[in-house]
Amino acid sequence: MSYRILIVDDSPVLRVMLSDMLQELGHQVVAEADSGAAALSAYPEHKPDLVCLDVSLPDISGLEVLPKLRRLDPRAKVLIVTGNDQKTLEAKVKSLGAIGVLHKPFDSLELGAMLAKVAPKAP
Amino acid sequence: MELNPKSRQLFTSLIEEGVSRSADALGKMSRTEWGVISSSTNEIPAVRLLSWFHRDKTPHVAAGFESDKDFPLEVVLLFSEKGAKAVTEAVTKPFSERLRRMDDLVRLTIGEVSNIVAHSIIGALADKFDRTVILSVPDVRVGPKAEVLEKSLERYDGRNDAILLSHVEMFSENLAAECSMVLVVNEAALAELFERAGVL
Repeated sequence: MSYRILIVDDSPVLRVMLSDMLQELGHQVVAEADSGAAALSAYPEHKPDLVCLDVSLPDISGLEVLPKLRRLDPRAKVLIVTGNDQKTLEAKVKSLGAIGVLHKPFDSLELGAMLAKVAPKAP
Repeated sequence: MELNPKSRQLFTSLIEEGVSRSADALGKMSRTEWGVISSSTNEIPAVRLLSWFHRDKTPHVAAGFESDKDFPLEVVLLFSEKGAKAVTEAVTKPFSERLRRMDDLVRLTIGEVSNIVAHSIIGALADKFDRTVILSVPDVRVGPKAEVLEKSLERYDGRNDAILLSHVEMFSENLAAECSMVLVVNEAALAELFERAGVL
């Protein structure tokens, strides 16, 4: 299955890397956002199937963006993509409605496996 | 308030675990092995660390991070200019032209690489306290070691605050690149966290 994806990450390097991998896996990146505010404005415009959301952002954290996205669209599918591998984070973001957590660094095989794993569970 | 010897030993071992996670993360990103040359945690005044770093005047690319207020700490990663270029080439090589043509690619890549490594070093510490510690986005600076480190020590009184400094040196033979990592924690704040969490 091919997804239309919004990437939210402050790092332009990570956005390009993730975008390359997603396209290689047959998905379409419809927009990229470098902050929480940009993500909240891009979401209603592009109505993506999936949001890849970083936690550390320059304005508001991904932990604040996530519930806001879910208020905009209760069916929003959000995958957290983060370098933060702390145990408490995964439980926290799942309680906020994220469909999964992908830890950086990752390769396209790990990304593909994660997308395959979370897709059936998505609301 | 000071850490008791047992708390300090636990802190040091949590940082050692974080250092190992950091070397693994750096290796995975740059597709080559990184070894830890030295790793130490000491209570020293910030001014002494700066005077040690003042000996090296060569330019470095550094990325600084600070945590949220609940768990106050700073992490700084420093790469020599040559090392930063080598790491950037290794990390970006498999990706598209769009990435390699990006302005300021070295600074941006070191910022992203450091973000992942910095989270790795504090991971074990956060897990022990059952906390989620979110680091700021990277503040990337270029200059001599002491100069780029100074900014991360601004919130401390260099002579009077008791600061725990973890200093790690890593090296990749394949890339001929080294990475210095400095973690700064206010000892009194850390001791309070240990006490509140009843960890020891």
